[in-house]
Amino acid sequence: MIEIKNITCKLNENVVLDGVSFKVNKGESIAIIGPNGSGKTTLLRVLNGLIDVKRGEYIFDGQRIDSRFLNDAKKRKIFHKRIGFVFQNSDNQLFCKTVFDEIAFGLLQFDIKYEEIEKRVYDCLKLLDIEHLKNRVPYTLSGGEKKKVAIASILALNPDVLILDEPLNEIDPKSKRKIKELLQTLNGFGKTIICATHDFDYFKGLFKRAIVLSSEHKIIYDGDFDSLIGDKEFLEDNNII
Amino acid sequence: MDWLKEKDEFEFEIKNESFIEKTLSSLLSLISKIRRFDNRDRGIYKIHEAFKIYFTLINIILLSLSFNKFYIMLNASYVILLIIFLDDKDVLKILNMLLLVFIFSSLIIGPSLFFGNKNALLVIVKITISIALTMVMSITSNWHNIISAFRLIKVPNIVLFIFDSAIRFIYLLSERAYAILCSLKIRSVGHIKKPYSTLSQIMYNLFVTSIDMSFKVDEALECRCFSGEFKYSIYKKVGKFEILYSIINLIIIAGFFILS
Repeated sequence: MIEIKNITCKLNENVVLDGVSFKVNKGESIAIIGPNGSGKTTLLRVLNGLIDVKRGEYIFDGQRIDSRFLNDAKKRKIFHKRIGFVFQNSDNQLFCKTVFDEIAFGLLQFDIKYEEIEKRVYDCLKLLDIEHLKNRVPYTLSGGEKKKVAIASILALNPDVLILDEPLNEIDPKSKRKIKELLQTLNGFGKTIICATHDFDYFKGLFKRAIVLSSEHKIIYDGDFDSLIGDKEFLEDNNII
Repeated sequence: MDWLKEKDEFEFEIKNESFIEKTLSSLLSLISKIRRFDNRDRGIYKIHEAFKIYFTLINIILLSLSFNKFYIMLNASYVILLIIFLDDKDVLKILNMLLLVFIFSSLIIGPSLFFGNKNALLVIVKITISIALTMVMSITSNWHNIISAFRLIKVPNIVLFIFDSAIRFIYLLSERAYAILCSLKIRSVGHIKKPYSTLSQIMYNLFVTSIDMSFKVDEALECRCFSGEFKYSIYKKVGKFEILYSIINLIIIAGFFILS
């Protein structure tokens, strides 16, 4: 479903991804792991088509994602509908005046009947346990609540691939477990989950595969998640724990 | 590293750093002004802003046109009725302001009464009622909903989105500025030699943050399939409060035509 071929990215002349290659099949659940500044967020932005890759190739469902593709508004819209991205900082992601509007925003970009939009919004509010927040102003919520609203706003679009950047930041333990269960359920529905995280304990049982980025911005591990978590020496050597 | 094991005995002059306190309190008041609407979902506060804005506007125009004492009394009674249903703090805020307005306009217009201006008192009362109506509308309204009420006069959605974003950015950047100032406050041991240059550095930080945030919002819009046309969602449904508010206002408007 996703194929990354030898991608190298530079930001302000600094290399942030160096010759990264991997494939993701439909329905996989993958953890992207690495120390701070290793390029996890950049990789996720590449996967979402937010960075125009100059070197290397990004193929999504047989379609090459490059500047030509992303300049086509219709294709870009369909692409973003299929691949949802939850930002690390929710303040940057929430821009509507109420939580209800926030979740409905993506759906309003398509010609969907209002009844269907309302149904989906209420389902997402229920799924994330945030029904009581529906009339609140998103930017005045707490960190955890904002994160839940951000996830709900992406979920409403029913994407095939869900990409999350540090989703458990600022979230209390109960909500962390709830989000893990939610991601497990979504993975069970056949959604592909790609998630950058440091919270291994909370995600036990969710991820089948892990990709580790080094401080040199290269992939140094691509394999079984449980085996990686068991290898304390490797994790310590690479500044992950 | 030996200095870490020993106790410091610095000498410093302590001065009152009132600029930090003043800036912190003004930031807090700004944040609370934006936040205050978040949990008020009852009575007059619940009425949709579109109703409040347009009826207030009509009432003020009609009030300025009328010289009928009964109509002015009707408006005064209506304002008192509205004020009764407000929170204590808001009532106090409005009464304070009205007292100032009354004194100020009396000082300016009052003397003309001695030179034969029979309408001077009427004008003072009309000004006070107009200010009261505007204050009730402003105090009970959510800023975001006031902005969205402009959709009724065909202001493009993208313009409204820019206004909404401005309020959002003011709130988020104020929160950030507040956090930085708190950190400055707890690290300011003794006296800051150039307090205002510190503020300029904070402003620079906020400026860079705001640029970064605007780029991220652009990406967030992109990720949620935004294709240039900003679509505002659903109109708020008209409830019993809106109906009651409209009936009362329509009676007052009818009063203008009947009494005039």
